[in-house]
Amino acid sequence: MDWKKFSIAFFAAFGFIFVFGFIWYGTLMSGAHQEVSTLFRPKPDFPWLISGHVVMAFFLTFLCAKFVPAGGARICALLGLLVALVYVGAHLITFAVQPITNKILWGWNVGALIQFAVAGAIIGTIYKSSSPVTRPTPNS
Amino acid sequence: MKDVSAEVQSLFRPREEIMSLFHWIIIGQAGLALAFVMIYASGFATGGIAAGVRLGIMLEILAVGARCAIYATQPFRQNFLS
Repeated sequence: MDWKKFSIAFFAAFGFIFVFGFIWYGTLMSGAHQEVSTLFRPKPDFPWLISGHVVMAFFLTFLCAKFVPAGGARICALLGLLVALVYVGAHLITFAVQPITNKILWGWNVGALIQFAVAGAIIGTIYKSSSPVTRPTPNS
Repeated sequence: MKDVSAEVQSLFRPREEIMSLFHWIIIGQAGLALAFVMIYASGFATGGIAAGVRLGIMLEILAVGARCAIYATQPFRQNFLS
């Protein structure tokens, strides 16, 4: 694993995920969240929020590096989309057990799909192998 | 975790309402499993069981990250996280 490229990709992914999260969930969806304000803290607990984003960005980068060592925006964006689908599943379960509105559910789902697909594309663009990857040939 | 959830009952739907929305839990679990299999099949399948376990651990750690973000924004208690 190229740790230098990995570190740059991780920091870029973290920056994007955090800024996108602030704009999408914290600003654009702020009205929807206010409709059920009792479900949310008046102010986010920032150390936990940052820790969560660090963990998500680190392991998304790790997954991309393991999944596609050659990198590439398109394939890593696809991986990001698949990871987002895992979150969509979790959001549907949250909707069943917590009194969030339909607007919040679909806002979270669309947000996750955009967030992880773009983060994957960023990671794939940065974590791009400079040498061609040798694949094992069958029957060798 | 029933007792831990009961401490923050106001954050959850009443039991009857949850049962009426139970299909969303099934759809959510199915979607989650489908996404997991799609990720495994498109890049990890050649690694066998070990690769599946590694992928599962990585996805769970990703989920832990999401839970930290949920804890940061929703008034759950800390024992809910652990």
